[in-house]
Amino acid sequence: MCTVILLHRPGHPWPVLVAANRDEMLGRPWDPPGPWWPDRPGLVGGRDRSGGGSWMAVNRAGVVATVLNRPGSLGPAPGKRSRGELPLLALAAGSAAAAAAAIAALPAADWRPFNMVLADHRGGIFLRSEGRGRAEVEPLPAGLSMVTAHDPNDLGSPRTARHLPRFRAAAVPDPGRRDWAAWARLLADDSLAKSRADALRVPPTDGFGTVCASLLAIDAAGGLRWEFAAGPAGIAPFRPVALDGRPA
Amino acid sequence: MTGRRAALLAVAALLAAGPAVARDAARDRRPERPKPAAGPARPRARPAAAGPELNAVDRETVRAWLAAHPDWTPPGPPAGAPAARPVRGKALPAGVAGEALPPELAMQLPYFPGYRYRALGGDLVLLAKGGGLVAGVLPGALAR
Repeated sequence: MCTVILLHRPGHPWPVLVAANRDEMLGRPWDPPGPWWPDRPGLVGGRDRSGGGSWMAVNRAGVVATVLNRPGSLGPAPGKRSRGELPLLALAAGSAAAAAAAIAALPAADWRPFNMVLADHRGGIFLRSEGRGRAEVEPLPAGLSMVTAHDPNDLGSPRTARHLPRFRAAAVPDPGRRDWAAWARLLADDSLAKSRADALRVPPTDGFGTVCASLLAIDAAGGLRWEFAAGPAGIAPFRPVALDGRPA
Repeated sequence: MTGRRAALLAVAALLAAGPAVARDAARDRRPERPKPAAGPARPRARPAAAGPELNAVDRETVRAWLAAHPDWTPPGPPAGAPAARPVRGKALPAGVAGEALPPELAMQLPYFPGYRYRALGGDLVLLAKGGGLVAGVLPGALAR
């Protein structure tokens, strides 16, 4: 039930921008983005301590991988592998397209249903797995795409229906100046229209809510900038993530 | 008007409006309750001071979610049932805590800051967080 927003601007110096809120059980332990996997050099991501995997990670080739659940598939299930390993598997590839192909070659039934958003400087790719057969691969078109547990820009998702127009109307961030103000404000919006299902930042209750947030940019050469809030946006500040041995 | 005088007036206005602003903010966090198109009549509106409650709209929300998630089953009845049935306005019986709802279901129900949902067997219960008083009950709403 996370949310990933991706803006693809072909030909722009910053062709891909990503914003993400992670919604999770509040008691599930995690670590902020770091090089947590010594057997996967160059891979930096947030770590889910329970499963050992990640909800969002990047590699040296400038590929970003995120994973979300599909409707009705929140949480682990007996006999299924943790979906957090999917970004790690994807990021063995040198491009988003190769990463998508690698995931689509796997038996989807090994995991509960999932969505993935992969990206590099060429654009974004959406993967949908219903927990059987193989994951389906769909390139994301130029422009804004919003992915939740539902398909991209699916207005059947109360969250997408309410917030996609807000992102479309918002000022586009300028990562070169570290100006993410407009998107950071949107990620911090915990207002409700009808229920928590339409909130972008899910208020914490019943042991569940938004736990952290990310703003990430890919430049035309594949370079990455990642700003991470180790708590809900608007409560925790966004800070740069050190990537590939370079200080933040 | 000097800048200093304007600032002082602005601060005074904010202080005067403080309680009203707080009330508005609290009200804004409560979603508007959709009206049922048909079906069971809604319970008569309660005074605002009585706090949140669950109603027929919420029961329909739960029904729809259960229909869309046939694999989910409610937790077993609480120990001591049926004496442990929740009663609105009272604390849960000693030793009865219920279980958390699936987040995907809880997120579709009205959000009342300071309250939480629990499943007690097939009953859906809304609890005040502090003292654990039962604010609302939908008997059998979670039953298959």
